[in-house]
Amino acid sequence: MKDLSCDEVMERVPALVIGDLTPLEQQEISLHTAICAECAQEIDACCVLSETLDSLAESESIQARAVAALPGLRDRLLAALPGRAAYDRLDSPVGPLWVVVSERGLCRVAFGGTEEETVEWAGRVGMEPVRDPGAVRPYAEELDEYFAGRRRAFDLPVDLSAVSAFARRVLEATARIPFGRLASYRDIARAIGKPGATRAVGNALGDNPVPIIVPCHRIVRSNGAIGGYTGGLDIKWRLLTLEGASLPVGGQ
Amino acid sequence: MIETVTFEELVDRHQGEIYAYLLRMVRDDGEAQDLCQDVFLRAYRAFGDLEGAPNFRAWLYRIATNLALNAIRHRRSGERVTGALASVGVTSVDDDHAETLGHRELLGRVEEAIGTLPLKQRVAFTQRRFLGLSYAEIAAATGSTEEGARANVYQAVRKLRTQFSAELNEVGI
Repeated sequence: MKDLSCDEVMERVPALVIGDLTPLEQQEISLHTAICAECAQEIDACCVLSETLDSLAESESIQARAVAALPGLRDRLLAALPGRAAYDRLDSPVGPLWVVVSERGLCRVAFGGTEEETVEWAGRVGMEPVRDPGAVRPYAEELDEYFAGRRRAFDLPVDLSAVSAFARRVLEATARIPFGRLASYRDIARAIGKPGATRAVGNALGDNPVPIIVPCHRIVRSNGAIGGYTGGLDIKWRLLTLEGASLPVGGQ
Repeated sequence: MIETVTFEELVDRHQGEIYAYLLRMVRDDGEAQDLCQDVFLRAYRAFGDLEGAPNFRAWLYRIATNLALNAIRHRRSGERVTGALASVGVTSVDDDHAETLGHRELLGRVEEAIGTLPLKQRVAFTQRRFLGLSYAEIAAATGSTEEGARANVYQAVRKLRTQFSAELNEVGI
């Protein structure tokens, strides 16, 4: 135990009020205040301040308001969280693919391009991009099996929440075209009950966010011409060849 | 996904104290709720990039501190929150601590004085005295050093002591 001077006692005042002093350090102050009336008065005043702060710290009002607000706050927060876009780059026989998976399923497959484009796309549709090979792996495995000729249909869920209701119907109808078979834009327009909307169907397919899995490569012109393809006609030919489709004779 | 579950745990574990902290800082339920949501949205965005085993609590306090300080700084002068002040703490302290009207008044005035401390001091003081953060946690939350955090807390105490010199001596006798 140490004999403190008045200055040393005053130096310890803030630590005393905050509660930072060890029992020994507090005892040293008591030892001094027993013989120094001036410091004793100052320490008394500081104890009042400390008690006042205790009262404020224990404020039931703050606790009660926090407890009352919490359940609503939690629901509001979790509802406001943007969806997570787990993405990764895959190598495939048709070149690199950038694949994005949400909590609900596969939401994008892009031929080539850059990581920045994938990140930008996620931002545009209000999702938080995170490079996460683990989340993408199950889709990578199905794609590998498809390219190896061991898979004819994809089983994992697809998330089309980022596309319009019309485009979704087009893509759903397209997804029903079997492996190795072909259909025309007009077939799809009829299938969704909009026989006059061939051009709109073409546009929706041009914006297909999940090519290969939603097989827009199986759509050709009604005159037999191969039509267009987002990934380029070379990839369309290779996919149709892989599936052993009877290729349209009219060529391009 | 694993990260999402962990983030929800983070919310469940810390949302209460972060909200209480924001309430102490901005003293308005609605504003504190908006800020609390912003804190966790920001945390969510950065969550995937965190590496190793960060101190989530200090990290959340850091985000909360930045947002609370921004909110306080951007509050237009003259638009001070009144009314909310009277309801924070002062009206519901237990009888041992508020035997006299004098003490009740003192509580309200001390609380108001904390609200007018320089922001660095107010943040460090609130985190240390009311929320029980260590100096290391305060340093991490405010982007300062432990010594700096301690100096801010002690400076705040000295200011309060000086400001209430007469009243504290009176009640103390």
